Amino acid sequence: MATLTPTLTLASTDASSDAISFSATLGLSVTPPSKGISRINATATGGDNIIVPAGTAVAYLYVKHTGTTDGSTATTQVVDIEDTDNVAFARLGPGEFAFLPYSKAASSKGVQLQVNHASVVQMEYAFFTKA
Amino acid sequence: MATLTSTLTLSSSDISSDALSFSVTDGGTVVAPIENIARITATTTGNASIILPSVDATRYVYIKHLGLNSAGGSSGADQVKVETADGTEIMRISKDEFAFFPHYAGGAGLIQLEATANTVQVEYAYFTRS
Repeated sequence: MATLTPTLTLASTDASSDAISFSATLGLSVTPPSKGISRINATATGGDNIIVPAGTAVAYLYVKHTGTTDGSTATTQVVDIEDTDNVAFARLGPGEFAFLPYSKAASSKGVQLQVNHASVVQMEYAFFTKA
Repeated sequence: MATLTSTLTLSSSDISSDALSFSVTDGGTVVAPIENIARITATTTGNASIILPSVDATRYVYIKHLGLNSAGGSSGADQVKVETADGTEIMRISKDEFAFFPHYAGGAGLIQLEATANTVQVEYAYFTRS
């Protein structure tokens, strides 16, 4: 087993009268399969962009919208994160990211990306299986 | 409008032959409604613990399992299911784990929390994307 340490920090000086500034972190035990930082050119057909294969294990999933179609050409198109039954649960705009312990414990479903427009968006992702 | 700066760092020295160490930061523009850091005790009845109202908007959502039950003792192996309104599970969070994601379900949609057994204290916050 290996250890993955994620740290999330949220901060804002103007979202409310009380400034926001906090972090969350922990050490996660992970095991194969895993996929290090990778990139995919996501399209409007989710099934063509599966980033986590179907399974019942928990996958610590990182996904980021690069804000480009190819690594250099800017785009504002949003991308949905969906299970492999086309059920969306998150939507990423340019520069946004997600980190979550994905699990469909009661069914075997993976994760796919689907551009909400007939175009291409380059996405970055990684996943690590919970030990 | 306000700015929410979110930063994620992932690191590992033994996850592969190439050590993992990187950070990403986003400055998202947010508007009301905003719910700053709050805590709730999730039970085995999901719709008793709705943390995100049903609105057709994208919300930045933070959820963390505190590892405690309603009495303040250890929650043991009890997990928290993150669900949409119809009880569909999106993810399952264990002790001390957290999630951060811009929630959008293809239209109006809420998020509710359900303990797999007993009770679990959970910390959460959300910010509506402008």
